[in-house]
Amino acid sequence: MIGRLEELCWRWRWCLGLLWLGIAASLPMWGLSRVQLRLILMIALYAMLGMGLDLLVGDTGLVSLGHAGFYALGAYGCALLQVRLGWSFWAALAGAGVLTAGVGLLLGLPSLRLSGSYLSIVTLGFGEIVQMVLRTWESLTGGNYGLRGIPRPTLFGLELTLANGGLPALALILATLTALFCRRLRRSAPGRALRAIRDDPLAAQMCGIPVPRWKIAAFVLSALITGLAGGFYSAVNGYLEPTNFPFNTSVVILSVVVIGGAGTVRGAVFGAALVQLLPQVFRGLEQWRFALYGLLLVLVMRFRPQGVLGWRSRVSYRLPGKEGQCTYPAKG
Amino acid sequence: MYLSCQGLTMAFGGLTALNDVSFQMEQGEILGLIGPNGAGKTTVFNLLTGVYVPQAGVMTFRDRDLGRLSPRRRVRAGICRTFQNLRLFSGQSVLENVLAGSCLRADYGFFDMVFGTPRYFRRERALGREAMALLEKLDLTPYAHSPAGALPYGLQRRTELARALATGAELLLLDEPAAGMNEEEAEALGKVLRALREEGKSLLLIEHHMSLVLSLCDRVCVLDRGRVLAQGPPGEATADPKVAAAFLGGGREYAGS
Repeated sequence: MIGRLEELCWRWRWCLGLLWLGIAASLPMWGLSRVQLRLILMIALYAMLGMGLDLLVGDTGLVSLGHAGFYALGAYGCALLQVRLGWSFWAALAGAGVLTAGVGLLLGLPSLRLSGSYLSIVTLGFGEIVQMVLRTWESLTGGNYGLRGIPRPTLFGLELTLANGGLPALALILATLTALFCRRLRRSAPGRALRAIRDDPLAAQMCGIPVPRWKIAAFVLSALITGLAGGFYSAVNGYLEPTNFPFNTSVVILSVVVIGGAGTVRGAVFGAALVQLLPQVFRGLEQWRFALYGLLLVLVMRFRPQGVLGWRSRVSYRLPGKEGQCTYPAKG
Repeated sequence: MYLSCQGLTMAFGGLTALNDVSFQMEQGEILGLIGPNGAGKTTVFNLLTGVYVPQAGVMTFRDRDLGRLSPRRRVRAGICRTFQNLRLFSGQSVLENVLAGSCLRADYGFFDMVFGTPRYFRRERALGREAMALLEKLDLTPYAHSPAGALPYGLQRRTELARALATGAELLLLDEPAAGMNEEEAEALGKVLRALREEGKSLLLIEHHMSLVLSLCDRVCVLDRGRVLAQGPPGEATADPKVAAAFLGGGREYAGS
């Protein structure tokens, strides 16, 4: 049944795309409450964060526990470029992306020597270091007092806010672009190279794949996406402080990937919806919520280690172009 | 000279895996590398592909010094290998495995990919077509979309061969391609390998399946305990009493103690 659904989605992908575009663009006109709009925005944002981390975790097989660091760098980078240098939001967002991609390049270097949990510990350290620097470099970041007065983005003279639906719409657009990028990457040679490295680095090297280069590239792309999400978050909040980016955030982003299903866009979207909706649904449980999350994570690991939506595609691997349509029935 | 190894020496701690090994290979030749277990055959492959760096010796391929090339550049230069214990990307389909092999030939840039330029689609389509043609040639088409790890052993071996071919290599280093195959399957494999030679590929072959070696190889090079024991046409080399002694045990007088 899932295979049939996938086949239908593929056949009607252009119509679905248009429909989605219509939904995203008409969001301001739906008369949703601020709470609902913020929820949509946060789901889109975490879907984007999940997809960014997924390039590392799902495709390359490198687990990062420090993505809150990239998230914070993107947010502070974007905010500071606007506040201190007077850049426009769009230029600052691009600048923040370049900044985090550069830092991603540096953090990618240890991945050439370390693997598995050892690499995760390095990334965990990175996340903590970023938070520490944001706390102590008061002259630049405002330290624990935070950074205030981050302007809202404007588009053609119109200020995008939560209330007029502009920011949620922008969040949906950013998440959609990220999803399209990830999809294209996965269906192209670079994506195949990353998966080869994930499954067997030595065999990948013996196939002529430049393993170090692609590992670093995966870090750079992942950091770039996370940094852009961070830049956008700074515009949403209008106010930043180091405690916005605790270790907890890294874990939540990783949960989005793991619970939803690593290596898939649908998994990131589902995971994001779950981590954003659950706190709303179980608000009554108060501090017992965390016990519930733990239990949920354990159950997912026990019964669906590949993630809730992490099934292996039931339809055949499609080659690009017309030949892609003629598929051989999957066996075995 | 197409492929030449001169004085290869490789020691792991106190164990000398290869000691002054030299052999040469012509283009279009099928050279068998045979010898008892632990003779150093796979070490030769690991040196040629750059997994290890030899302590001494020179390897050249088409008069290029392989020692100066990274493992990746050796594949680009046209040398690709398979593994004794299969190393497929086992969760991925057979087709994806083959496409992973052709990654290095996807010569479009990052921006071609992101914006989907005509060049990107042209190249990707060509790679896909080539991969399907390769599967067709190796009779793997019905399994194109099966996960590689779930296939029977012989098919996994063929998938690995397809992946190596997809890199565009012209010299294939095959590490026991017929291991675990019955007589019939080995015969079919021999047919495939002969067809590859007809296309101008050269094969360096580690194999224990003697009937395959005798029927397929133009020459063999016999290794024992890291030394070259004999070289020549398969009939002659295996008739050498030293070789028989190495394979069957028998005193080891030849070692000269």
